[in-house]
Amino acid sequence: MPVDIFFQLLINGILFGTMYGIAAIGLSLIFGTMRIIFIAQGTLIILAAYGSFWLFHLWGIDPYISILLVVPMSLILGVALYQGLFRKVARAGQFPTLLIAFGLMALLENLMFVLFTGNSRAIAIKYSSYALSVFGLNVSFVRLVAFAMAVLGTAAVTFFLKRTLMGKAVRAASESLEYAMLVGITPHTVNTVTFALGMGLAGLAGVATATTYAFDPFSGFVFGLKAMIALALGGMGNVMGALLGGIVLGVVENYGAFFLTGGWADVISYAVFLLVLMFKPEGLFSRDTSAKL
Amino acid sequence: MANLLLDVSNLNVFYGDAQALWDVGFQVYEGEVFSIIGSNGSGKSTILRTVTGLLHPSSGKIEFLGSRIDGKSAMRVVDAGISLVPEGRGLFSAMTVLENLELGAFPRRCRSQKRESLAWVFSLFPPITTRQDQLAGKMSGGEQQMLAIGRALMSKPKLLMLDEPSLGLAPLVVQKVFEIIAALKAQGVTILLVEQNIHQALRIADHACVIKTGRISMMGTGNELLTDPEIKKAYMGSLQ
Amino acid sequence: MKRMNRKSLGLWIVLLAACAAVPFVFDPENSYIVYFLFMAFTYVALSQAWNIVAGYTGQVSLGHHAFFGLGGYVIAILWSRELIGYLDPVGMLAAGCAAAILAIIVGIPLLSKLRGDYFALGTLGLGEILRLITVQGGAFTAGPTGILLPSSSFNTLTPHYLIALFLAVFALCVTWYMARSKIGLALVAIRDDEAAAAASGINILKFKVLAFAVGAFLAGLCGALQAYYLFHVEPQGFYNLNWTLYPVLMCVLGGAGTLSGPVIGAVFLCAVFELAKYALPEIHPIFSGVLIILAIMFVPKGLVGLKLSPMRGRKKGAVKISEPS
Repeated sequence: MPVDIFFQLLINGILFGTMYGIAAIGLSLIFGTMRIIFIAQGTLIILAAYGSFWLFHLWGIDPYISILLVVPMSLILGVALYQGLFRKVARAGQFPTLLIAFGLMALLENLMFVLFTGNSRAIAIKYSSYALSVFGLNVSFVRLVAFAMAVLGTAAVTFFLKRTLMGKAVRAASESLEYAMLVGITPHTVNTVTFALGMGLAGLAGVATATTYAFDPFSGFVFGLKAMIALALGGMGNVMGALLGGIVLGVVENYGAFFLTGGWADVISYAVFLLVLMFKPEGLFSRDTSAKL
Repeated sequence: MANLLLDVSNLNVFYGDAQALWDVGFQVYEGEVFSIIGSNGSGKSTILRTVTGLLHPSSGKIEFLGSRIDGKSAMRVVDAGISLVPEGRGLFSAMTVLENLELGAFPRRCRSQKRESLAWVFSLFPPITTRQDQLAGKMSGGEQQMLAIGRALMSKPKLLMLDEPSLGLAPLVVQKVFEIIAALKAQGVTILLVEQNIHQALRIADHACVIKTGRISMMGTGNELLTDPEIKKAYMGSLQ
Repeated sequence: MKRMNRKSLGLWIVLLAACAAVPFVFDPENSYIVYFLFMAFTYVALSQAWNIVAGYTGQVSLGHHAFFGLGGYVIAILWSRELIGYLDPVGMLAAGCAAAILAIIVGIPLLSKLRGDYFALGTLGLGEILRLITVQGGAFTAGPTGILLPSSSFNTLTPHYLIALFLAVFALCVTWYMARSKIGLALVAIRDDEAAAAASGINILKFKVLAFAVGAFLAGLCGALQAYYLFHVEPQGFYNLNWTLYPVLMCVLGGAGTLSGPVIGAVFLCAVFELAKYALPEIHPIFSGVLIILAIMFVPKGLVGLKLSPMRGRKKGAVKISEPS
């Protein structure tokens, strides 16, 4: 294969993969404190994508400006969702929480289908087709911006976790909820925080999706699965790992799509996913192999 | 007459359908060291976990400084001024020494005094001062114990509870731990101690009780129990 | 489990006979009740199958539709190659076994990890994988358009109805048997406290996989029956998440972990959905989502739980902390 195509695919894969990565970081945060894999994440990303889309189509708000609206709204939505839906069952274990997430996913998908129809949407704006030349390779402008958003989002989350007291509380609770309670950390508090953050990241991913991708109400399910694949690859409870997992997935997908026709690329992704889950659930990048899992 | 700090009466605690504590009761006064001794599985940890709010009793009363705390959440108990160093130390091993200590001051009332508390803890435990950025999980047993106690002290508790602080530590380190407990007592910290190391626990205690399969079987001053022939026979074996 | 006393056994038999008589009393061509009960019984079987895995063993499977679809495709592939016939018991058995085998293959590695959500996640992906493979399957699976079966074989709905009734009863019997046997005790022990169950010597993996395989077997049978009913097996319809969503909802609403819960849930919800379809054709998939949420939040023990007398004064025991195991 010609070298430049090799690198082209690589770059695109990395750029694209970071979007899976931030979705995966959101999942990782929620998993850390609530111990469930929030399967409705993908659908919420699409909800945010619709938000950005309609803000653009109805009021002409530039998608990158819409971030200022979509992300805060997502944070608030996260708090509302946790307090409204999950708080009650948080103590009851994984079973009810997983099922509520499942119900939420089904509800939102079909709601969006009814409200927005099943037609594919995408934001087509003047810079959608811009391309930059980086090291002689063609790099799509919108993908580059999506990449930047993902990097910034990751940096923000990392800063939060490492430098703020609440962030440290989240890390502590993720390691051991019981020990965290002994220093006065309340489960509901950290759950609300991680849930809100997870939704905020979903909001960011949603805007990125809307600018780079065509989507419809049911794309969320697949996107969510891909985010989970990224999470599984990168290992739970690991922000950088989640991002890397997303990148790996993006790259694998991109090469796969190039070499294999049509749907086989997806099959490979899922197969890799299932294999990782079955045989190496702590992920490829996890530094922590303790029995925490 | 010293203040009554902790008043436990008629405590019954269940794990699901299995009863772990029967009618447990004792009092802890301000400024003293109170030891609860017993063998493995006797219910010692259960008492502490119930006081701290991780478990709720099915009946009975726990009063701290006159107000009831049984059935309250762990957060409220910590807020009220009780800190527990659990069995196994309860450290966040993936976080640094400093971060662990900072989290000790998590309750709102403690946050403004964080610096002071840190200074106090460092003065008590010089070895961890130099290792602030080290991961808690990478420290030796003795250092971890010091860190755990230090973290509990960050919230300036009125009552410090220690669950088997000597567990898994070498004899010399155990000695150090009990010296620390004595030093804390000298600084006015009230301590509720749960131990399998009968000798040390009773030597340092003002008052103590023995718990056996979930029931208090003996109560008295530290000295009384230390010299009690039954205890000597049952627990101390060859120790004279 | 409650012992079957003579009276209640008698009632069940009468009920069974009444149900069996329906297609002979009502004209299957023209009356709605035969169709309704056919679907209801199918869902009873599907919900009961999920109940075994999730309600009794505590493993949340979100890939029920994978086994359902596989069952349908086994029939389609075998029949279109004339290896089996219409409503062929051999075919159905093959469908069930194929599903069970898949469950065992995937279940062993997935269930051997202690984390329940890995399992949920994996099963969710399983459905997707099977759907994608089927779409890519070329001539073998007839790709996205699916396999058309000789619909000329269709005579009346009666045999389908009776088979569905049989499946529902079969599923109930299997659940009943498992519940009151040592197997059932083990499953419930695993659900309630896995660590304790392991400590008392139960082979956790064996029982989890067993429950998973049995649930898959039943789901495969249902898929096979559906293939014989629709005469067209395609990926979008057969590997559709709804074949997990609805049984889950029915089981949860009726009462997971109970024998009659899925029955009540299935019949009740089938009725509700049929009415909803009539009144609001576009909206009703949204309801499923809303209902699942409401059910978990407000009737976590299901409708069955509501009927039981209010719980005896609960001993305030240990506060359950969701802990990393």
